[in-house]
Amino acid sequence: MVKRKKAGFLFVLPGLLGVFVFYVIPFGDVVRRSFVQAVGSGFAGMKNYHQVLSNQAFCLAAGNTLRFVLVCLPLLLGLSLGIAVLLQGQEKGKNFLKSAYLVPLAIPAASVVLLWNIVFDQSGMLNGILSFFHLKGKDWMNSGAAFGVLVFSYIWKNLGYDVILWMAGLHGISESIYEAAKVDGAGAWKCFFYITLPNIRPVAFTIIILSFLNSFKVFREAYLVVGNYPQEKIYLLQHVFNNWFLELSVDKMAAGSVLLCIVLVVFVFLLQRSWDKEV
Amino acid sequence: MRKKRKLTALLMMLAMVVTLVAGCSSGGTEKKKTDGGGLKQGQGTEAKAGSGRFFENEITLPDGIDRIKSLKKLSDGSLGAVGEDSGERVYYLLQGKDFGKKWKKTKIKNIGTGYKPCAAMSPDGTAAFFDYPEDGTVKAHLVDAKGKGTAISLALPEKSKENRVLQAAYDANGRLIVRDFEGTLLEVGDDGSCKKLFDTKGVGINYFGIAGKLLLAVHNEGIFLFDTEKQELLEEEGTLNDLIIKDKKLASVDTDSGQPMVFSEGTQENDILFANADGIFHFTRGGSVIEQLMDSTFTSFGSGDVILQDMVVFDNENIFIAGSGSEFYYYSYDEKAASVPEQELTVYALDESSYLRKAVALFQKKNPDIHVNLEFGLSGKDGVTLEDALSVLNTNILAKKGPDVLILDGMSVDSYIEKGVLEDITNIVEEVEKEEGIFSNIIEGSKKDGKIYAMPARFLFSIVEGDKETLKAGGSLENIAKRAEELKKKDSSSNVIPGHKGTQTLLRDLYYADSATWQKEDGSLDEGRMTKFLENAKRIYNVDQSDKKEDFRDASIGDGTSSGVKTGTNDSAALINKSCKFSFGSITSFLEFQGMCSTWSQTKADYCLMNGETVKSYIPYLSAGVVAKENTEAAKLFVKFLFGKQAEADNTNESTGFPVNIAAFDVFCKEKMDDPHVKEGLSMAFGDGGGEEVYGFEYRNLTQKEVDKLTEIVKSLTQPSMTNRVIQEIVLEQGDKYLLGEQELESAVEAILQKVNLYLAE
Repeated sequence: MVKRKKAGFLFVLPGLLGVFVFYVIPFGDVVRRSFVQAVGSGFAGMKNYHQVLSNQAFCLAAGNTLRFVLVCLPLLLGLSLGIAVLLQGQEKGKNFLKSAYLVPLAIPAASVVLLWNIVFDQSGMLNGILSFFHLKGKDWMNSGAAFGVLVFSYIWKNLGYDVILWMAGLHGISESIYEAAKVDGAGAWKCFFYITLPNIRPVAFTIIILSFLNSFKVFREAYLVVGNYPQEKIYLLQHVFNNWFLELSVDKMAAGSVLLCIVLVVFVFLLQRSWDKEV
Repeated sequence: MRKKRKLTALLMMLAMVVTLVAGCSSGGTEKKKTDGGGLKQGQGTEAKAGSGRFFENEITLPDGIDRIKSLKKLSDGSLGAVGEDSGERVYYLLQGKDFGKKWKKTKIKNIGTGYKPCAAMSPDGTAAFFDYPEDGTVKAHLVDAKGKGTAISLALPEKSKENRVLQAAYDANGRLIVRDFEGTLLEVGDDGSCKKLFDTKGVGINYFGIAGKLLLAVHNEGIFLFDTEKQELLEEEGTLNDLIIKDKKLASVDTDSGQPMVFSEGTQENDILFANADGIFHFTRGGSVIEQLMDSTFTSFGSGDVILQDMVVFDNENIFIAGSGSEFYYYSYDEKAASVPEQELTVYALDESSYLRKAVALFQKKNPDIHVNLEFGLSGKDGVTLEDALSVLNTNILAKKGPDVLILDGMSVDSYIEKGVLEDITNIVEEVEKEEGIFSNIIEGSKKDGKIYAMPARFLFSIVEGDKETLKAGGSLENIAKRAEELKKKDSSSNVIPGHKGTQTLLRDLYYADSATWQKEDGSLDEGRMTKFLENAKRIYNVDQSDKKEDFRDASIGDGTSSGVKTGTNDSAALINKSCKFSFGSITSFLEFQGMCSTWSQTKADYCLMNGETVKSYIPYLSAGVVAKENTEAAKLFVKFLFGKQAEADNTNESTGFPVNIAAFDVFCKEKMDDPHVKEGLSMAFGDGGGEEVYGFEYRNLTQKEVDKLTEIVKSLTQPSMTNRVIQEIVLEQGDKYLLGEQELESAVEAILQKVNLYLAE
């Protein structure tokens, strides 16, 4: 048994080394840099953290990022689960719809950006449609509506992926459980709440983590469409980090990254604990 | 057996990890091979660790001669040349000794009085000259060693009546070879007969060179090699062809840069030597490697100012190169000198600058022991964005591989000062100030907490040019807008401001004149000032409502910088052809200032500082700072040189701002008050855009009064305009939408303030 474990470890070793070389060691350097000055190696103590936490731009970006996650995650998880459950019971066109939902994921970021520009520009398609119905359009990307656009984009892009993941989870639930419940007089809602939800909990954990991490990737589209300084509602943490690097504020960038990492680890840890407890 | 498997697995994993890590390393640099040859090795070769390299020496041309038309090593071992006195149009046979220190001059007679567009020197001391075609005939003048010419008519192929000789050269055996207008290579007989050298199969020869008995004919896809003695086309050299294929500029001749390469034989049979804008090179026929004997950064022709004319390799240690002007250099080998300069210096700027290139060339000439690497972050050719360039720069700085000198135009100077990237250069500025003088207002404008971390070497400023009433209004943007509206009311049929002022050009002009007042004490932008700025810009723009699509400057010239040369956006010419009522914009040089003053005899205009009642601002250019490192001596030396008189006054490209160095400023003032170009007759002609009428003006010398007023204005400038490109781009982007009516004023101001303040808050 011990020998088998050793063999397994050896197989994992290259990947583990990669993680160390490309993630753990660089992150160790980030932690070190968060305590030193930007250029040179003078010890800065907690000064960088203090600067970051009192930095208006960072606070705005952190608030926006949190708001984005709080709005997007429940929306995405709820919508994707709903669609997955509906598709699960569907016989006709199930595979076609599954593929259709995955199409946004296959579209390259550059094309998505082009689409954004065509649709959401001040003289774009959306305003054209609105004006056809005698409604006043707006500069979607340079007004408060930009946040809505960003949320829409995230949901649109990740919905299909989450639907597939949910469906994989749903597929694992034995049909006999549903049949037994129906025999006992359970309706569709009861089946959903008392059979489906408890049985997809292990999958839900993975989906939540993946969706949460994917929410940070939406920066790419926002950056490509409106650049380093977008409308302030969609000014996210990645904007700050990117701009700090351009200003050589590596000290602040490192401290900000460490803080973000702590928040992420705490979030994952708490989620896992709550999951473990309930299981 | 199991142990063996485990060991194999471990070794494989180890190999994978090592490969992975090695694959990610920087990889090292590929060394250039050398394949010997008799010539001494220079920079950029494997012999880097050793000693010995070439140094440039300037040759003074003999009295009365202002350019070399052709060079040759004569059969008696001396240096032969054809010299020209371009003023008198007299030509000489020259025989040089002691590496150009002594010359024997023989005046050439009996070749007529007309200008000779091309000439060739033969190894036996004779020469040939060629005339422009007259009545469809081209005359050649064969000159004997005593300078007596004999005219013959050339029997050039009659493809057109204008066919003429564009280039001529003698081979080692004294065969005269010419290239005609059609790109055909011909051997000229003593009787004027012309024999086609070889069949190029329809390929036109752009130019050619002679290396002993070998002719190198350059075409668009490579180089034909022809043995002039055996009269046979040789097998092409792939390495030389690759050179042309990789750098198409080397393939063709143009009026600006002339012939891109000159060739010479070496000291061994198969040697081919050539020089181009990258340096001096050696190639051995049959070889696969081109060896660089000298990097062009150590030569005067590396600055791009010199057009190459001819080249002669005298012996293993001496090479002569003549430029098409009065430039004449010889490169001598010093075997005791280090093969590469002991010190290396990297100068980094975001934007291409021809001025900086020339300053580096001058500095290297003065400091041959320092090798300067000049890097431009935004070449404009490779799609690199400002963000990409800054990311790479910052990564290098963090890795301690960053530049030694930063040209901070467009960068956030405050951020670099705050991070401790820049060193205090107050003492350098003070040294130059004591020795040669620097405008005190520029020094004051560059101070940060009493210290100087970066200071511009040059500066520009914005003016308004027009009649007296306009100049009265020129002091503020509001009054300029008011004046423009009044003039439009009086006569609505013509434009008030120059037609090229599209949204971007107009906003940029006004930005430079006004932005120095925008920042409040807490660092944020003043909403009131921003609102006024946009309002006034809109009023001025609306006066003529120029069509953005027709605005070529917005699209092609941008901020007035083209190929690294700054051009002012003020348009005096528009006042001459009456396409506007007044003009405004930046003025970038003494030449532009002289041009502007020269137009006043026709326009009766004058000028004043734009927005001068609000703020007397200047546009800093080439703001140089020294990056804090262990050894900054060379960097400081360069920055001192950049601020010094030599760099500022010797730099012949004038369209690059006004010098901050007072001694250099005075040199220009004096020169423009007694300008040799004006004596020769310098004029400018231009159309009205429709191509129907031609306008023009003659340049004249500046008057003392004009120089005094200019000096007074320059001394009155107090604050630098905001040159931070992030802020500028945000203002221009939102301002553009507002001017075009795509956005309301409040929204534009709000967007600018929100974005800029966000940037400042970071």
